[in-house]
Amino acid sequence: MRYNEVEVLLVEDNPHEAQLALRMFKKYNLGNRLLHIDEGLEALDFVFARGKYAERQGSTALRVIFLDLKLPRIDGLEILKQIKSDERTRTIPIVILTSSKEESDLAAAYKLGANSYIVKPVDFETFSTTISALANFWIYVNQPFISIPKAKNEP
Amino acid sequence: MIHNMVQEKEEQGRMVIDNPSIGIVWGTPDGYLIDANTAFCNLVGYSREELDNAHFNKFTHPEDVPYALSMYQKLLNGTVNDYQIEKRYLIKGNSIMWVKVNVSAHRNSQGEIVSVLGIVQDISERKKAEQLLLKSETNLRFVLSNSDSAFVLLDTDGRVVMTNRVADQWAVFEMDRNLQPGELFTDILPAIYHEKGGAAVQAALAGLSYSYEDRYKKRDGNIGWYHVRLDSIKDEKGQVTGLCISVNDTTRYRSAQAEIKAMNDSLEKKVKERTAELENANKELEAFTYSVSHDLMAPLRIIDGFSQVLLDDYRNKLDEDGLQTLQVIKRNATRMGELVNDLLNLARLGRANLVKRNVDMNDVVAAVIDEMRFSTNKLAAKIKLQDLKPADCDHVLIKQVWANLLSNAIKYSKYRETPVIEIGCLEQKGQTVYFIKDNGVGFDLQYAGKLFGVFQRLHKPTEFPGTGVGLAIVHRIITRHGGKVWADAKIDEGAVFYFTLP
Repeated sequence: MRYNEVEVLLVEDNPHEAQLALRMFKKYNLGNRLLHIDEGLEALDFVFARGKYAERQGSTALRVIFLDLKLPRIDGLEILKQIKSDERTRTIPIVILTSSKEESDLAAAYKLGANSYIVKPVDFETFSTTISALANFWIYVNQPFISIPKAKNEP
Repeated sequence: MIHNMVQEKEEQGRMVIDNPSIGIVWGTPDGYLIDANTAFCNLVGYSREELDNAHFNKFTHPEDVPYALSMYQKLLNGTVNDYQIEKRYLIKGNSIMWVKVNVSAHRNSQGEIVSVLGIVQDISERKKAEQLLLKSETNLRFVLSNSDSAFVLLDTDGRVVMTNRVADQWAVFEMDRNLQPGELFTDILPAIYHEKGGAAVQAALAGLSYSYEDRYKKRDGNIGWYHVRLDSIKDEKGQVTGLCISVNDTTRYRSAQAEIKAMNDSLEKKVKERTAELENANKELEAFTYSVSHDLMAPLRIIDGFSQVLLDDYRNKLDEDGLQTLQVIKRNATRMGELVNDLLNLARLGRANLVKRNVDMNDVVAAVIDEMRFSTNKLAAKIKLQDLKPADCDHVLIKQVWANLLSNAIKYSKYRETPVIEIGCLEQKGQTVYFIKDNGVGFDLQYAGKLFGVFQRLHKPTEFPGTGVGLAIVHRIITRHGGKVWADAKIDEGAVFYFTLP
């Protein structure tokens, strides 16, 4: 996969959940546009085009990030904070995709600049329609404004 | 002239003798009656004929005879020429009369007694008043001497008139000697009490009631407390004739009060500590419930999701039994998802902050009914709505309560031909009680205790679907508001749910 063609980034630590999401994307023929990363630091490297994702420099393809809140090491809220507080990346839409309905999580996510907050339904069919609707909206419907991440020596 | 004077004297004498209220009687020296006037006859109740030659002892009360005789003896032996005596007469019919008798002797030139004159007055009324006064004084003294308060009566010059036992012991001021009538109160009262006491005495002399509490130093050096009350004593014209000072030692009362306060304080502190502990424990428990249910969601989604993958992508590799098995797995995953979801909601409620404000219940219920109509397409139930009083509560949470209660009422009355739901409020013991009544299947009150428990259900899930969390949520919200929720029902006759908000 060429990283600078990635349109949807899924940050999710549970491999099986990710697998289900991937299946959904494939079903709607969006599989080749999605990248799954299961860990926060790597996700940040991707967004800021660092390390092994350096080749992404100049890419404008990324339309949306689906972000889980509960992640090992760097959690979702911290990732959200870093992306939204950086001039270069703050316009990337971020959709929180979580099991948590907790008000404090909701409030924190919106305060940090989340564009949407989705509680994952248990029922797979609902989940799949939700995912497809989300992907459709953010990839096809929504008009993005994404600045180009320039090379930067410090993170 | 002389004749006239004699005549005048005689007339004056007759007037005295005829006086209706003064009994006059003459007797021989040895005590036999010679003559008496009408007033005397009336006094003793005998006719003049009956009195003829009677002895004076006939009238004198036997108990008074020795004293009367001893006085009479003095007259006989010439020690005195007249005397006064108060004694009891036995009058006709054996009733007793108090009389005052002036007895004087009429002597001849040799000094021998020729006759004895007695002037008798009825003094029963005076004696009666005296006795009453004595009795009331005895009562008063009894009360005073048995009172725990110290009493001192002063005249307007500040001299002691009367004291009681406690004042004599004078525990309060720890004086060294008893109070004596006639002493100046300020002479006995230690100087340190003069300033306050003086002001109080002035006020009381001006006719006011005056009281104060102050400290005193006990003989053992400890500090005690006393309470003083001064009242003016007034005569019937309202003139101040003296003061009544009552003093109570309030040291023990004060220390008991302090003890009670200390006990209350420590109790309050303990309650606060325990409440805080309990709140902490509750919060921990809820946080635990929350994180557990949260972590349960992902595996459930995965079970459901992969079952669906099998159904979608491997359908032709499975036989009918295999497909059905997958459906069962999916159904149960969904069911468990609902349970966990409700549990999450319940845990969230327990931790959410209450935002209380004045809420128009009519608006809330109307909104709930609207939403219910919207989500169920057609609402078969007939809803009778009364005017509801407003309440101080959390708007969002109370809406949840009405929503849960209403959906409950709809659910359990859905098999009725005409489901009827009544919503209203009533006043009970000064409290507003909200209620929602349905004509559904009801339940056995025997199981009412289970009604508000988590996952407790009184009906089969095949008849009435649900997770058994709705009423637990209602209970949680109402109790968090400090209110109460309860139900009344009969099998097949519907149910009523009541709740109060303080």
